[in-house]
Order: sequence, then C-alpha cells, then structure tokens
Amino acid sequence: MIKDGRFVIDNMENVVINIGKITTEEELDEQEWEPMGPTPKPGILSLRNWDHRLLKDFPPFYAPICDMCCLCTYGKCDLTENRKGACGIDIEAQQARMVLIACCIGTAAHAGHANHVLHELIRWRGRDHPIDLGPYIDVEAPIIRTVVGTIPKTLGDLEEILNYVNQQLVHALSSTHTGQEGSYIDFESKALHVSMIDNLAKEVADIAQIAGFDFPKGDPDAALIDFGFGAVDRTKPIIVFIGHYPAVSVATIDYIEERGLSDKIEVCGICCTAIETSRYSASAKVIGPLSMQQFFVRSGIADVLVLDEQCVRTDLLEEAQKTGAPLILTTDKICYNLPDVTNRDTDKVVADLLNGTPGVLISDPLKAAKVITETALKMKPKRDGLNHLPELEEVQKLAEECIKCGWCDRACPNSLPVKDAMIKAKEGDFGGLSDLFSPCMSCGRCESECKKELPIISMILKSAQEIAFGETYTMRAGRGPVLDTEIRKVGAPLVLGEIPGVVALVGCSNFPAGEVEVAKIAEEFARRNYIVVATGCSAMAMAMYRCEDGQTLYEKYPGSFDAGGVVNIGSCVANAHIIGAAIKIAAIFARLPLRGNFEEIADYILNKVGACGVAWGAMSQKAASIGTGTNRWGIPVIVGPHGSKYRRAYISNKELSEWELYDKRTGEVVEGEPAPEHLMYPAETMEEAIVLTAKLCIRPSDNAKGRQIKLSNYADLYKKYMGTLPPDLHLFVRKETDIPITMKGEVMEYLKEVGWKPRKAIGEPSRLVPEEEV
Amino acid sequence: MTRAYQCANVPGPHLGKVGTSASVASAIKRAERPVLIVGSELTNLNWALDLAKKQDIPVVATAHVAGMMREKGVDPDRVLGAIEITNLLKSPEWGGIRGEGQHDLAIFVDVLYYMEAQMLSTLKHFAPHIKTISLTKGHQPNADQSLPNLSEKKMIEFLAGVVEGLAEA
Repeated sequence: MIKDGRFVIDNMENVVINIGKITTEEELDEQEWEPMGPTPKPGILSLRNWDHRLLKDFPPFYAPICDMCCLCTYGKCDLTENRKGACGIDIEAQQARMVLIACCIGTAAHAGHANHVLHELIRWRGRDHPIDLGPYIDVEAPIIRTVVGTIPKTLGDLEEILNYVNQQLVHALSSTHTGQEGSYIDFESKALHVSMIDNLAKEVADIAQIAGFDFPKGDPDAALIDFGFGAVDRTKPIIVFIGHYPAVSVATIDYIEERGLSDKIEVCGICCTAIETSRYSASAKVIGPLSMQQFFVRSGIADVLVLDEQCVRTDLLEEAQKTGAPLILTTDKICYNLPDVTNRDTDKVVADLLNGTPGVLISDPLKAAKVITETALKMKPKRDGLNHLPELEEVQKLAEECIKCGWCDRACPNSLPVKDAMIKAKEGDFGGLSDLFSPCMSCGRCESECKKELPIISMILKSAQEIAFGETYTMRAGRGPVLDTEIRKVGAPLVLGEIPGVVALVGCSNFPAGEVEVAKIAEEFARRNYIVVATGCSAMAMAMYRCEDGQTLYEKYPGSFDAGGVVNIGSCVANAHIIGAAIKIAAIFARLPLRGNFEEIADYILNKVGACGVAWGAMSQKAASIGTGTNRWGIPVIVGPHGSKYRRAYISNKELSEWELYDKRTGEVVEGEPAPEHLMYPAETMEEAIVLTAKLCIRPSDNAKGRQIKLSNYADLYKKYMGTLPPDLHLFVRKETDIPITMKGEVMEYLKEVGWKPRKAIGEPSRLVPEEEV
Repeated sequence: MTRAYQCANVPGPHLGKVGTSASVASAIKRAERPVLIVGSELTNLNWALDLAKKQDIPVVATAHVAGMMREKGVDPDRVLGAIEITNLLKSPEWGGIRGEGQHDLAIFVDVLYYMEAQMLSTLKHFAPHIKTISLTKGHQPNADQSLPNLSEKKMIEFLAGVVEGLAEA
C-alpha cells in the first residue's frame, strides 16, 4: 500500500520521491458531494467585494479610545485633527488597524485552543479517530464546508483545516505591521476575514472536542448541571479548573473515575472550562462565569487551582498563594515563571506542592491529572479549618481605615458606589457592600487604586456570603450543534418570520449591571417564542437567575432549538454552531450548495435569517473576533455599553442611508428597508438592547404573517420601554397585511400621519448584483 | 490638572477644558443650533428638561430614557441610541433634529459615563463642525468643555449657575 511520505529508491542514487496527501477512492467520491463553489479556502482578497458591500450599508463608526499610535519607535504619534502618524496613517485607519489586531488576537486564542485540543486528541485517539456527530446531523461542519470546501471525516482531516487557519492568521496580522495597509475599509475587510477564520477555528475545536471527548451531540435534553458557589460540597477535596481548554479536566475526571474516587472529590470549573467539563461529566459543578473568578478564588474554597488558557486572571499565582491552594498550570499559554515539571516524577511533584511549592507547570494532561487529584486528596486535610475571608468584625475594622477619597468609585469600570458602601460598613451596616456583589465583576481595580490597600473584593464577598453561598442554580450542559431535524422544523418559519427570530446571547461577562440583565434579555425573548441560544459566560450568567415561579431559565424552558427554547450551545468555541445553524437553514431549507460558496450563503443569512447576537458583556479580543466574524456571515450583533470601547461599530446612517437591494426574482435593483438596520451596535441599556434586538430580527424575506409577528413584538417592546409606537414603524410596513392585527387601528392612524404608502415586498432579496449588471 | 472621572481614561495630548457655569452658559448662548442629548443615568433629568424648555433646545433621548420622560409628560424631539445621534452629528450634511441644519453644539447630560466618553471622542475626531459640552457626572476630557469632578451638592450648584448665567442678558 502506498503511503504519504518521503521515499528513496534502492540502488538509484539521487532519486527521492515525495508523496504528499494520498487521495483514496472514498475521498474521490467525497469530492463529488457538491460542485466546488467559487471561493474554497478564500484568501484575504477573495471575499473583499462582499465586505465592501456590507460596509456600504453598515459603514464603520469609529470612537477612538486613544488619540495616538504607539506601535513603533517613531511614536508616540498624535492623530488628532487630521494629523497623520510618521508612517502616514490617519486616525480612521489606525482604529481599524487596532480592531484588526484585536480580531487577530481573538482568532489566535481560538486557533491556539483548536491546535492544542486537536493535537492532544490525536495523541489520545489517533489521526483516524472518526468525527461522528450522531444520527441526526448530516450537515456536520457547515462552516468548514462553506469556507474550506471539505467534509472532515477524522481528527486528522481537521489538521489540514488548521493549517489554512494558521496561514490566514499570519497574512491578516502581517498587514498590521507599520507601513502596510493604509485604508480603513480594507483593514475592516481583513478584520472580517480573520474573524471568519476565527469562526472556522472554533468549529474545528468544538468538533474535535465532541468527537474526541464524546461531548453531547446536539442533545436538547442535555443534563441539568448544579451551578453556583452553593453547589460545591465543601466537605470534599475541591479541584477548580479555570480557563477554556478541557483536556486536563477530562483527563482528571477519567483518573478520578479509574481510581474509584468519583464520590469523594468535587470537580468544579469557572469560565468556559466549566462548561466543557460539565459536557463531559454531569457531576462536575459550574461555579460561574469569568466575573466570579476573583470572588471564588478569594473564598479559598479550592484545594487545588488548575489553569489552562484564555480569560484567566494574570495574578492568580499571587491570589492562590494567599489561600494556600497550590496552582497547577497546564499549557504553554500561561507559565507565570513557574518550573516546568512535566518530566519530573509525579509523586515528587505532589510532595513538592504539599511542602509549599506554590505552583508548577505540567504540560501533559495525563500527568497533570494524577498530580491534581493526588494533591487535592492530601491537601484537603491541611487546609481544613483555614479561614480565608475576614470576619464581619474585621470587615468593619478595615472599613474604618477608609479615608473616603473615592478613587475606588473612579477606578471601577462600572463606577459602582464602593465609597458609600465603605462608609456604611464603618457603622456596621454591610448592606452596601453586599449590594455590590451582583453588579461587581470582581476585576479588583478598586483594590489596586485603594491607598489603604483594603481587600475590597474580599470585603464584598464576606458581606454577601449568604447571597453568594446560599443559592444553588442549574444550567443545562452545553449541547453542541443544532440538529438537522430541528433545522427542518424551524427553517421555513424562521425564514418567513413566523418564528420571530434567533437571539444569541454570547460573549464575556463584563456586564454593565451584573449577570441578571442577560438573564432578563433571555427571558423576554423566550416568553415571546423566539429561539434563545447561549454560549460561554452568557450561558452561565443566565443560570444565575430565577424566574417569578422560582425556576431557572434552563428548568423553565426546553433545550430544543425551537420557538421558546433556551438552548445552551456550549463554550466560546461552540459559538461556531450558532453560525452553523444559520448556514444549515440555507443548506437544508433553501437547498443552497455550501461548498466553497461563502458569499451566497452569507447573503442568504443577511437577507433571510432573522438572527441577532447579543454580546452584553463583551470584553475580550475573542469577543471582538466572534462578533466581527458573525457580522461577515450577515448576522447583526448588539454589544453592551462597554463594547463601545472596541473603538468601532458598524451602523447605518439612518435617514441618510440608501437601502438598495437586488431582487433576484425580477432581476431589478429595488428599494429595500433597514432590515437589519445595524450590524454591530453598542447599546447603552438593557432595555434599549431588548427593543433593538426585536428590530434587528426583521428581514426582507418575512412573509406578511411573519412580519406581523415581528412588528408586533417590536412595537410592543417599544411601547413598553419608550411609551409610544416606534417612530420608524412605517419603514417596516410594506402592505396593510404586515400590520399586527391587534394594533391595526393605532398603526393605521400613525401611518396616515406620516404619509405612508404601500410598497411591494421583495421576492428574492439579495445584496449580490450579478457582475454583468454592476 | 483635572483628571478624567474614570481615572485611566486619558485619551491623548489634546484635552478639553474644565468648564465653569459661566463658560457653559456662554457657549450655549453663542450656539445657533444646539442639541441636548439626555442619557440613562437620570441624575439630572429634570434639570435637563427644564433647560431644554427654557432655552428651546431640541432633546434627544438615548437608551430607554424616552419612556421615563413621557412618564413626566415630556415628549423628546427624537429617540435615538447614543451612537445613532453621534453618527448623525458627525455628518455635515445631516439637517439636524428640526431640519434647520446640522447642529453646532451638542450638550451631553447623563449618558453612561464611559460610553459618553467614546461618543465625545468620535465628535472630537470626526465632527470639527460641532462643539461639545458634557454635563454628565465626572470630568470628560474628550468634550470641548466638561464638568470638573464634583460632589453631588457642588454639581447642583454648578448646574444652577448655568441656568443663572443663561438668564443674564
């Protein structure tokens, strides 16, 4: 049998034959699954026209957070008042460049995750390990199919896709070097491109995880997981995983099971590792999103802290040392100047940690698993009885040291009233500090600023201990991809508008007013029969809330991708499945070919799939690439007010915009509508975001019944929060039959007032005018 | 030097002025087509509505503030997101809230501090035709004129001083 590789022919000097990838007969058949579309493995220029078309309707809006460029030694360069930098760059291009850099960082983080997890799984399971997403998913890997033009069958097949990812990332990042790109529009095109590559890397990562770790394969009834500080059994040794990369937690759970210790050790997680771990084992506990990280570490509950990668506080070595919990690092992403003991005898490493070594780096998950478990078992008795938080009397004494300078309030990203809480605590009233627990993201900037070096985070946690530790919630385990069967059921009603939209709550937990808002957004839309999907920190934040009847959202609403469902898709990398669901609507409902056919699919989604992302706590560069990639597929995204610090939004010019669309059915360029009106929009308040979400789910393809349902929701929400009918309602009413029946009288009166005239609905709305007509 | 209220929010070498009641009043008086942008913090909503009424300044309600204004019996002239009004203000061709031409002064009151900082940055860089005043709690270095960092009591006095300054001939 011929294999790939390098061959030297016996007795033939200087003859070497190199055989690259062997194409099997099976693969040859596979190559015929669909004709190849126009843009397989697109480069930076391949989809540039699509980007420019998007940016015509949704031009970049820049809000510089810094007036200078400090990236080269010519700098600092002042870019105010039309000044150019020493390299010639202006303020707009510099903003776009910084956005591209952020998107490259985000993409690199997800691609790093994908590379790590894939290579570890190939080591565990082999390159030929099959990718099997179960009997209800035929269109697996929709992003890979559309972007790359292949169908991965084995873990080994995913390597080639990552090669493409890595190559595109290099090209995109290289253009940010001093003296390369100079146009903000083309920087944006590159940001859109690399962020689409981010989506691809995430799909690779999660497909590998599902196949290699046997995570749920789109199970709507995935297990309900115990959630919250209160869920942790403090009588057992407690291991806490923080980060995103699940190989170590999976290996630890396996090791614990093999040793028959499953009921003797608590395995918990914070941030996306928590979601991943609970996808593997329903007995794992989820402590909470990123915003809970500092609070939980300060509590000292963990007997061993394990860090992997992404979104981990960079001072956790210092924090862990305060509680006496050993810290175990497990990837090359976080090393903290700790010794790499991967090759040291594991028993000796355990002994070192028990004898006071503050932390170690172990890059082999299987070895780490043993060290983590054995250390936790032996560390627990040593840490029993230790008290890590100040007593309330001590909190009061500490508060008495406060000099009321108010810099804590000014350092807080949300300007929370820390000073007033301290003043109350001086008098023995801990209510102010306790009230800060929910809106505080535990970033600790107040502590850094405090001239008296008060441990404000610990004081808040102690004051709120009954709230923090008294409640156990539930979260449905991340289910992974949407099933083809579900798409068959909802595809038509979604495209016609009869299911009013998909609301995707994604991203980090830098919320402007605590976790509760993201839960309220989810509840508002689940009650209205939208499909609510969630990932990452937002999926976790949604769990920390009880509806009026006392149930959590995951208990109250079904986990199916259907009207009224509240669906935890999974971690950050599982965001790929949300875009994947939109692509599958095009593939399954509209029967569009996916293979190498990005533009047509994105155009379909933009004009016909009423989906809207809400990244209410978007904080990281990963959230920047997630959002920007989602935009390239034609899905609008609302970010919270902190999202304005990303420096760039994509918004229409409202009344100054032209909304031209192409009707593929008649072949004419026609007057369109602002549907969606914006592509990337920072909202100031939750209420604004709710109203806008309903509006951004409107699409030109809605039929009359669908448009009625969408307008009914939009108008109802607008009235609820703004007190009147929406002032732009006339823009979305094409004919009288679009008007919600229950509002007909008042809407007709309003339309008369503004001089509304009926217009034709667009048969086949598109933004892709055939080339010969351009 | 007055620092930004959120103390790390230092944009660059060109910082706006710390206003006084008199300088704010004077800028409002000088403006031909001012616009008042009222946001979600609600600290000085009543004062802002009073100012708009007395000075006949059109009001834009951002976020969901319109609902609260209407509860007080006041209809804002426009309801727009903070980013939407900022985007319109940076377009020289926009006809303004009343269709009388682009505004020459934008007065921000109570837009969420850090989001307002970003909106003011946009106008600083991309709207040379418009002056900006921030009367939101906390100093905003991206505004042409902004409040100093004041206690609640001092802030009330500052705003009262603006009204007095406007009443003077």
